[in-house]
Amino acid sequence: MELIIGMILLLPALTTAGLGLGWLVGLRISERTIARLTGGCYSLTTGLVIVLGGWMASNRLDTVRLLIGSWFEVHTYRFPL
Amino acid sequence: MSRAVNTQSESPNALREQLEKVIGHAAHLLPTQGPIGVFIHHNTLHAFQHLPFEEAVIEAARKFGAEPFLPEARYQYEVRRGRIRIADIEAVLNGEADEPIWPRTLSRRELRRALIWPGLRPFSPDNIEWQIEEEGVLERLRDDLAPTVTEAIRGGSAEEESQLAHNLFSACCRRLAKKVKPQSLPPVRPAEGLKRLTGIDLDQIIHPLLIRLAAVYLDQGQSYWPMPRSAEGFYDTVRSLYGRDGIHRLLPEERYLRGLTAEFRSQSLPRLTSIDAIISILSRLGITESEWESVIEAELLALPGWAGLFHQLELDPGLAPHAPWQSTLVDFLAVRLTLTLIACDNIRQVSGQNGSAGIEWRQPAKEEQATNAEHLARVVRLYDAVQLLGLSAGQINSLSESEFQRLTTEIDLFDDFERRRILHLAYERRHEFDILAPLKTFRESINPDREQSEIGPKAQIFFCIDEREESIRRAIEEQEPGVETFGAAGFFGVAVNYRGLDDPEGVSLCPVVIKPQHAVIELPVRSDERMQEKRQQRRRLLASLLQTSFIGSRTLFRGWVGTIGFGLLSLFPLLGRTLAPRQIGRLYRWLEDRFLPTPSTELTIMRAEESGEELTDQLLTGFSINEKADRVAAVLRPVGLIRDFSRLVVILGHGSTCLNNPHESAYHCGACGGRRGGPNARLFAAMANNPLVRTRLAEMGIHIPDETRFLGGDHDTASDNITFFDEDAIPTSHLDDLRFVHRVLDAARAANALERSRRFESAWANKTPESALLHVQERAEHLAEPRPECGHATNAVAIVGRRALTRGLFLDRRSFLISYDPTTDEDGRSLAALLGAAGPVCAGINLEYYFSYVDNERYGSGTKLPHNVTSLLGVMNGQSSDLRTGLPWQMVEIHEPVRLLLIVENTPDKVLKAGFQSPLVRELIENRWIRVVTIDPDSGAFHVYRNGQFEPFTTRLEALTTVTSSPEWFLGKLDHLPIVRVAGRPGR
Repeated sequence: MELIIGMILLLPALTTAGLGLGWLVGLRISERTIARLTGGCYSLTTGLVIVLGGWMASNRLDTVRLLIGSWFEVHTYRFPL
Repeated sequence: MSRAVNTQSESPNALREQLEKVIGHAAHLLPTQGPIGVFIHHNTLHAFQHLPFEEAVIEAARKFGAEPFLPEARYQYEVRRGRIRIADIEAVLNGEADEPIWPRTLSRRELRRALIWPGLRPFSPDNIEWQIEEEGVLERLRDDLAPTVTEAIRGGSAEEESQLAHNLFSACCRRLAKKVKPQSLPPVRPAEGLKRLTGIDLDQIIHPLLIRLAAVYLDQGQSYWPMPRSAEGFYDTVRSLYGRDGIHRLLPEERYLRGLTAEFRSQSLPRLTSIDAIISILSRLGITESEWESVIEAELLALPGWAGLFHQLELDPGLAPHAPWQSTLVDFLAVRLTLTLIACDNIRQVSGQNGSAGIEWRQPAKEEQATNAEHLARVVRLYDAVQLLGLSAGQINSLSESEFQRLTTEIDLFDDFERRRILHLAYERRHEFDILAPLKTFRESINPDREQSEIGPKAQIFFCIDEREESIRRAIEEQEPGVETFGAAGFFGVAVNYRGLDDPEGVSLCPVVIKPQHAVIELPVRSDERMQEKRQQRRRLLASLLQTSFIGSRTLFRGWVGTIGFGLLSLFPLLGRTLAPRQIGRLYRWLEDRFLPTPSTELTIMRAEESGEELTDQLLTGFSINEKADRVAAVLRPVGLIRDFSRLVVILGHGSTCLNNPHESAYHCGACGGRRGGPNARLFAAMANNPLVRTRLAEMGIHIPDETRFLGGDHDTASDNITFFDEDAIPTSHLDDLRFVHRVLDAARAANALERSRRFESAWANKTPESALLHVQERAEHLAEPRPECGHATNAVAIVGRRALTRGLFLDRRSFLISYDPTTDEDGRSLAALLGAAGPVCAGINLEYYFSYVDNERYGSGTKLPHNVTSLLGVMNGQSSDLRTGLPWQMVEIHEPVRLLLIVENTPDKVLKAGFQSPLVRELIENRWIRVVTIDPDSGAFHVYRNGQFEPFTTRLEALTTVTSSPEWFLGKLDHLPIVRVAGRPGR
C-alpha cells in the first residue's frame, strides 16, 4: 500500500513538473496531449484513492502511514516525514 | 503649487447641475455590460461609434491604454502564411492619399510600401544595446532585403557588407540630431500625480476597500451576512456604516486611510448629498471646475468595471437579477473621492509634504533631452528604415536638411498604429475577397428563384440567424434535400416580457433595442395545478436546505460540524462531474424529474381586447388576434414563405447549457437579449396554429393550409440536444411527419456535433457523428471544461438573402444567415425591419468579439482561470479586482478579428434606404463599423460599399472546390476553412 500512497502523492506532482519543464525548455505541448496527461493522471489518482480507501475499510484501518525518511535526526531524536 | 478654486463663484444649484452633466458625460466611456447573468453583446467602443472605425479604435486605444489592432508581428505572420497577400497591402495603400516626399524620387505611398513589408524591426530604448550586441544589427544589412534593394544600398561600391552597414549607420547617426522629448503630460488625477511625486500608488490603497464596499452593497445573494443598506443609496450606506460604533473592529483603517471614519462622520453632520460631497472634495483636492471633466473621467476609468455596473444599474434597475438596490454613479464617485481625499492626506503627511490650500499632487511639466538609449533606438530605427528604402550612405549624406527632415517626419508618421491600420485593412480585404469570390462564382451557377415543386417540402425548419446554426442547417439539407430551412432573428418577431413556470418575475425576450409591450406567463394546465403546488413546495424546501447549508458552511460552529460530518460527501459529485459528467448529469435530471415533476403548461397569449386595458406592470397581457397575425406575418413574409407550406413547420429557438461557467448567458440567443429563445419559438408556433390568426393572415396574402401545423422547440448549442414544446398537441394525422422531423434532426445534430468537434483540440476518437454527439454532451456537463462550446468565435459574415444563394455551400459556421426574399419586398419595408433588428445584434456580437480578441486584457476579461464570481453580478480576478467586462480568452481564442461583412441581396439604393431608416444601422454603415456588400437579385452583380459609395466587385470567376460531403472537407482540420461547394447540391 505504501507504493499506492506514494503514487497518489507523486503522480499529480510529476505531471505538473513534467508539463512545466516541457514549457520551460520551449516545447509547444498540444491541448490534446495536456488533456490526455492531466485526465489520465486525475483518473489514475482517483482510482488509487478508491483502492486505498477500500483496502483501509476492509482492514478496519483509520490511518495509513508512509515513511519516506526523516526531516532531521539528532541522536535518537528524529522528525519523520 | 496651488490653484484657485472658483467653486464659490456660482450658485450651488448651478454647480450641482454642471457636475451632474460632467459625470453623465464621463459615464459614456464606461463599459455598458450589465450583470453577467444576462450577457448582451454590444460594441465595446459604443462611446466612439460616432467616429469612423479606424479613427475610433485609435482614439479609444489612446484613451484607455488599449490596443486598436492585432500586434504588427501577428500581421507579419499572416503575410508569411498567405492569409494576407502583398497585393492586398498594395491595394490598401493605393486607396490612401498620396503625396511626394522628395519630388519625382520618393512618394509617401512608396515609402509606406517599402516599410510595411518585410516590416520594420522593433527597437526599444530598454534593450537597444543588447539588440545591437546580440543580433549584430550594425554588423550586416538586413537579410530579408531584395537583391535590387541591396544593390541600391551598395550604390556601385565594392565594399564588404559590414562596411556598408557601418557607413549607413554612421550616416544616420550624423544626420539625426538628438531630439528634445515632448513635454510629459501633467498628471490628470491625484493618484497619477502622487505616484510620480512619491512612488506610492493611491489606487492600490483605496481599491481593496472600495471593491469590498461596492461588492457587498450590490450583492444579489452571495454574501451570508448582508450589508445594512440605506434607502438613500451607496454613499449614504457607507457613510452610515462608518457612523456606527465599533466600526474600527469591522473595517480597521489602513495606514494610508487613517481619518476615514472621521471624514465620513464629518460629511454626515451637515448631511451632505453625494453630489455636494463630490463638489466639496474636488475643492479640497484643489481641482478647479475646468478640470472636473478630465479628473472625473480618469477617476471613473481607474475602476471602469465597477463604475460601469453602478451606471448600468442606475439606468435600468431591472437588470439586477434579484435585488434592485438603489445604485447611482454619483454615489460611487462620492465614496471613491472620499477615500482618495483621505489617502492623499495620509500620503502627504507620510512623505513630508506641507500645504494648507489643497493637497498637492501636481508637478510642473518639463522638457528633457532624450536619453542616449532613446536616441540610439531612434537612429537604429532610421537605419532599419533606410535599408528597406534602398538608400545608400552617400544618398543620406547628400540629402538637404529639408529633404532629410521630410524623410524622418514621414517615417515617424508611419508609426506602429498606422502600420497596423494598413495591415489590418489588408487582412480584412483578403477576408472579403475569400468570401465574395466563391459566393459570386456560386451565384453565377444558380437560379435563386424559389422553385415550385409538385409534392412540396417534406418539412420546413426555422432556426435563429445565429452563425452557429449554419452547420446544422447544412447538415439537414445534405441529408434530407426535401427539407427547407430558414433563418429568422431568434425572438421570431415575438418581443415579450416572459415569466416561466418557476421564474419569480418576467424578463425581456427580444433584442435590446426593442422594449416589449406584452407580457406572457407560463402556467400549469388546469389538470396539473396540484402537481405545480407540490413542485413549488418542494422547490422552496430544497432552496431553504441549500441556503441553510451554504450559510452554515461559512459559520464557525456549523461550518466545522458540516466539514467534519458531510465534507466527504462533496467528493462524489465532484468526481462524477469530472470523470463521468454525462452520466452524472443524467442521474441529476432523473432525480429532478422524480423529486420535482414538471406539469404540462400553457401560455397566457390570448387577449380579447385590442386596446391596452389589460395591463400588468404597464405591459399588455397576451396578444390580440391582429397582434398575433402581425407577428407571424412579420417573420413569414420577409423570408418569402407565403405559400407552399409543408405539413409540419418547426420553429427552433436556441440557448446553451454549460456547467460552472459564469459567462453561460453569453452563449445564449443575442436576439433574445442574452436569454434562451425556446419560449419565443413556442409562442410563435402557438400563434401560427391559431385558426383565427390564419384567417387574418389569409387576408394579408399569407395562406397557411389547414393541414399545416407549427411546432416550437429549443436547440441547445452546447449539447446539441433539441427539445420540442407541446408535442402532445400534434394531431395523430401528423405523427408520421413528427417522426420524420425527429429522425432528420437527430441525424443533423450528430453531424453538427462532428463538425463542432473539429475545433476542440481535446476532442479525440470522435470519428463518427454519434461519438461526437456524446463528446459535446459531455463537454456541456463537465465541471472543469473551460470551452463547452466555441460560441460566436467564428462569426465574420452576415448574409441577408434567399437560401438559394448559400444552399450547398460550406460556410464553416462563420455566417449569420438571415432569410430574406427581395422579390416579395418591393417597398423595402421588410428589409428595413430586418436590418433594424438583426443589424445591431450581429454587429454587437461581432464587435464585442473583435475587441475582446485584439486586447483581451483591456477590452476582454482575460483568461477564465482566475475568475471569481462576485455578488452574482460579474467576475473578478481572484478575491479583489475590477469587474472583468468583455469576453474571456477561452471564448475568443479561435476568433478572426474582422469587421462583420454584411451581404444583402438587393440593389445598393434599396439597401442604403432600408439601412438608413435606423439611425443606429446608419451609423454602423457610414462609419464603417460593418462592411456592406449588395447582391443584385436579378443580375447577381456584387457591389461593395467603400468611401461612402458602392463600387462593383469584379473578379475572374474560378471554379469552386467541390467536395462530396461536409465531413470530407473539415475532418482533421483545426483552422478556419475556405468556402467550398458540397456536391450533390440538393434542389427542390
